[in-house]
Amino acid sequence: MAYRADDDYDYLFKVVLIGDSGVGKSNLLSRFTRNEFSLESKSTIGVEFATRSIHVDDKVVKAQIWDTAGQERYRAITSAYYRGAVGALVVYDVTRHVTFENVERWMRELRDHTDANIVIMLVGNKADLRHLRAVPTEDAKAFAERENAFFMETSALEAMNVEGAFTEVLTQIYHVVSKKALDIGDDPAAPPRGQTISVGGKDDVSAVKKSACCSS
Amino acid sequence: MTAQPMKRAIVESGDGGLGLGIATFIANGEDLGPIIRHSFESGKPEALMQNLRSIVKKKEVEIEELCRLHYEDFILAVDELRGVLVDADELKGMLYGENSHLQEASADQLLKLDELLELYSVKKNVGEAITTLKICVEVFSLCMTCNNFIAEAKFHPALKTLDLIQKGYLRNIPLKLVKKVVARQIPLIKLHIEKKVCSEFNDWLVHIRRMAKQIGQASISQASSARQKGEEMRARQREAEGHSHAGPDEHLYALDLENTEEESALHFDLTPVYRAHHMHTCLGMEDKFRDYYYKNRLMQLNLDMQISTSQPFLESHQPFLAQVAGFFIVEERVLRTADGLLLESQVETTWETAIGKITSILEEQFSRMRTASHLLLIKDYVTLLGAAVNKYGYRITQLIEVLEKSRDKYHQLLLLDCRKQIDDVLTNDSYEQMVIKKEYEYSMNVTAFHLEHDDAIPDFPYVTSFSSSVPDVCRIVRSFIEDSVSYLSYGGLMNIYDVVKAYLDRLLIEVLNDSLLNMIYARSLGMSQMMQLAGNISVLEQACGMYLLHSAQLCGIPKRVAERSHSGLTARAVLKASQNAVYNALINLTNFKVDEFMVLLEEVNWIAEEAPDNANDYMNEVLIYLETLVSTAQEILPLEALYKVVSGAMSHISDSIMTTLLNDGVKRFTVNAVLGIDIDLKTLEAFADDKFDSTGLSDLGKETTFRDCLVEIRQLTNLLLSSQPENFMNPVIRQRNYGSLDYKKLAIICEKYKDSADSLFGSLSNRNTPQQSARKKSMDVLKRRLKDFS
Repeated sequence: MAYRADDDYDYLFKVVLIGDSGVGKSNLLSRFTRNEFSLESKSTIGVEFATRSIHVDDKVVKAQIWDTAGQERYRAITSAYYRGAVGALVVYDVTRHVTFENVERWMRELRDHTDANIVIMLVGNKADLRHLRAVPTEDAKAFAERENAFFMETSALEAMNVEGAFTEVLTQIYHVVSKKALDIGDDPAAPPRGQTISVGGKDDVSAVKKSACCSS
Repeated sequence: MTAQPMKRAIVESGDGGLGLGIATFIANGEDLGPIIRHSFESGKPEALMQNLRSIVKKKEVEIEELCRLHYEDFILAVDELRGVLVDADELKGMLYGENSHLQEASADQLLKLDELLELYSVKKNVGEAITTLKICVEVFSLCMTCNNFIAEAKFHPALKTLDLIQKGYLRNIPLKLVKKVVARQIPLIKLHIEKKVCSEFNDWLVHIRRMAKQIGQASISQASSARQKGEEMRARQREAEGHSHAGPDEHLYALDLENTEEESALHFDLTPVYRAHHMHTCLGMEDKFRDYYYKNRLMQLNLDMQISTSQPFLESHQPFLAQVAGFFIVEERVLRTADGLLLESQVETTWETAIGKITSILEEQFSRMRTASHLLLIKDYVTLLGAAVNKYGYRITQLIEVLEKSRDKYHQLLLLDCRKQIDDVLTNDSYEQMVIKKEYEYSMNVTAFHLEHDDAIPDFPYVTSFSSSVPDVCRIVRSFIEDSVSYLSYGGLMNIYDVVKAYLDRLLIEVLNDSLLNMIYARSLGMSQMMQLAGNISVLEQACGMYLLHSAQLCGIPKRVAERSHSGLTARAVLKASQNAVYNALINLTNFKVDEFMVLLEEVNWIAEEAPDNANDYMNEVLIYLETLVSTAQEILPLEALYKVVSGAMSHISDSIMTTLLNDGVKRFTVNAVLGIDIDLKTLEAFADDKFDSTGLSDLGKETTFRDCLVEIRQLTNLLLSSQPENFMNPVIRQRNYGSLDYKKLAIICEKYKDSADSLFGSLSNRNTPQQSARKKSMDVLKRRLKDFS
C-alpha cells in the first residue's frame, strides 16, 4: 500500500461521535482536533469530520473522527456514517437525563451497523456544570459496565478529559488491531508496517468531504 | 559744522524750479516714478536727464568735500584706536597675570567646589531614585498584600487593594516597564478573582441543590409537627368536652404547651452567595452575576422538577416535593437577605411556574391512581408542603385547587373500596345474633359504636340484637369518615363538616343501602336470616346518629352544637325505606313459606260425609310455622315490623283459603267441609289472639288485630254455616255480618255448595233433619238471587 508522503502515519482509525442533539459532540471534536470551543449552540448540519494524529507505542495513529447532527432529519446517512468505524464515542449531556436515557437506542443502532469488535466509550459531557447535574456518575458507570463499554465524564468547555477520552479509545483500538495483527503470525502476505483501515472506496471519502463543512 | 555748509551750497546753486523740485523730492525720499513717467510721456526726457546729472555732480562734490574735511579726524581716530588697543593688550596681560595668580591660589578650592557640585547632583539623583523606589515599594507592597489576600481567598480586600493600586498609584509609577506589567496584571487578577468566586459559587450551587431536599424535608417536618400538636390539642379538647368538669384550666395548660413549642430554625449557609454577589458588585458586574444566579437557579429548578420515571410517584413524590420546597425556601432567604440579588417579581414568577407544573403533575398522577390511600398519602404531603412554603410567603391557591379537584376522585375510590368491603361483610355474615363472651368483645363491637342505649356493661355471655356485619359495617363507615376528614383537613375548606356529611350520605345511600337492597332481593337468605337483616338495618339506621357525632367530632365541632343541629343524614330516611323493603321481603318470604303448607289444602276432603273432629293437616303445619316465626321475630324485630309480618301472614292465609274455594280444584263441597274450615279458623283465631296479647302488640293500640286479618274467610264460613244464608241480601245484615264478602266470589262459591241430599246416594239417606231442609231452601234462594245480580 502506498502511503501519503505529506502525512505519514502507521494506522488510520475511523471513529464516530453519536448521541442526542445538543450534547456537545461537535465541541468535543473541535476541542480534540483544534483545541477550540464554541459557546454558540449551532447545530451540526449533516456530517462533519476532522483528523488528528497521536502516538501510541511509538506508532503514529491518525484518528478520523466523524461528527453527526444527532437529529432525526439526518438519519438517511446512517449506514454510510457507520461504515468502517472501529471506534465510537456515545455522548450524553449530564445535565439532561433524557439524553442519557436515549443512549440505549444509540447503542443499539451502533451495534446494528458496526463490527462486534468496535471500541465504545460512553461519554458524559458538560461535567463542569456540577450544580445542574441530572445523571449520577454511578448510574452511567453501571450502564457502561452492562454494555461492555468504557466510560468517562468530560467537559469540552474546560477541556477536561477530552484528550483522555479520545486517546483511550484510539489506544484500545490499536490494541485490538495489534492483537489481530499478531494473530496473522508469519503470514508472508502481511504488510511489514501495520495496515490502513479502509474507509471504503475513494469516492465515498470525496462524496462525504463535499458535504462536510471543514471551516467550522 | 560740516553739515551746515552742505545745506547752504544746495540753496546757493538754484538751477530753476524743476531742479529744485526734484531735489526736494529726493531729499524728502519721495517716489520719482510719476515725474519720470511724465517726462518720457511728454517727449522731453533730456531736460530731466540733465537735471539728474547736475544733481549727481553736486552730490559728488559734496562727498569729496566731506571726505577732505574728515580725513584728519579719521587719522586721529585711528591713532586713538591704536592707543586703545595697546592699552587693552596691557590690561589683558595684567588680567592674565591676575588670573594665573588667582588660579594658583584657589586651585584647591575649585577642586572642592567641583566635588561639591558633583555631590549635589548625586544627591538629586539619589533623591529621585528614592522617591521612585518608594512609590515602587508601596506598589509592590500592595501587590504582595493583594497576592496574600488572593492566596488566602480573601477576595474582597484583594479587590480593594487592586482598586487602590489602579486608582492611587498606577498613573504615578515612574518606571514604564513596571507600570506596563502592573497595568496588564490588574484585569487578569480581576478575571482570576471572578473565576475563583464563580467557582466557589458553583460549588455552593452544587451544595445547595443537594441540601434543598433536606431543607424542604425539615420545613415540612416542622409543618407536620405543628399539625400534630394541633391535633393533640383538639383531641384533648374533645376529651374535656366529654367530661362535665371541663374548665379553663385545660385551655391554660394548652396555651402553656403552645408557648413552649420550639421553632427549630433551618440552618443553611448563604455566605458564598453574599460573597459572590458582593465581589461582582465590586467588579462592576452585578447585573451579570444577578443574571447568572437567576438563570442557573432556574435551570436547577427545572432539573428538580423532572419527576423520576423509573420510580412510582408514590415513592418519588416526597423527595420531589421536598426538593422543590427546599429550593423556594432558599430563594426566599436569598430574596430577603442578599440585597437586590433577586427581585420579588422573579421569585413570584418562578414560583407560579413551578406550582403550575406541580399541579399539572399532581392532576396527571391523581387521574391514574387506583387506591384511595395513595391519594390521601400524597394529598397529606402536598398540604404539608403548602403549609411549609406558605410560611415563607408563597401563595398556595393552586395547590389547594388541585386537591379540591381530586377530592371527588378520592372519595370515589374510597366508596369503591367501601363497597367491596361492605359487600364482603354482608355476603359473609351468617345473620345470627352475636354471642359476646368477653368484655373486650363487647367493647369492640357494641360500646365503640354506641349500639346499645345503656352504657353499662352487661353480664356475659351477652346476645346482641344484631349480627356481626353490623359492627363490621360500623367500622367501615367510621374508617370512611376518618379518611374523608383526613383528606378534607388542611385543605382550603374552612368548614368541612357539611362536605363530610355529604360524602357520608353518599356512602350510606349508594354503597351501604344498595348492598343491603341487593341482599334483600338476592333471594339467598332464609327467613331467620332475613329477619336478622331487618334487625340489622334497624340498628344501622339508628347508628346514623353516631356517625354524625363522630363526623362532627373529627371536624372540630363541639358535641353540643352537633346534637342541637336539626339537619341529619338523608341516608337515615333511605335506610328507613330499606327497612320497609326488608319488611316486605319478610312478608313475601313468610307468605311463600305459608304457601308451602297451604298446598295441603288440596288434600282436604271437600265432600266429607261427616264433620271432622280436628283441624286439617295444613292448618297444623301452618300453626307450627307461625309459632316459630313469631318467637324468632319477637326477639329481633321491632314490634311494628313484627305486626306487619304476622298480619301479612294472617291475611295471606285467609286469601289462600278463599282462593282455593274459588279455584277449579274444588268442584263441590259439603257442609261438613265447611265445618272443618270452621274448626281450622277457630284454631288460628285462638293463636292470633294469644300472640297479639303476648307480644305486647295489644298495648300499641292497634285497631286491626291479627284476628281481624281473617275476617273474610270467617264471614264466608259463618254465612255457609248460617241457617238463613239468604240474609246476605239484606243490606243491614250484610253490612253488619258479611261486609268483607264480595258478590262475585260468593256466587261462585255458593254454586259449589251442595247439601248431602243432592249426592248420588242422597235420596237414600234417612238423616235429613227439618233444620237442614230449612237451610237448604234458604241457600237456594240466595243462589238464585246472587245469580240474578250477576
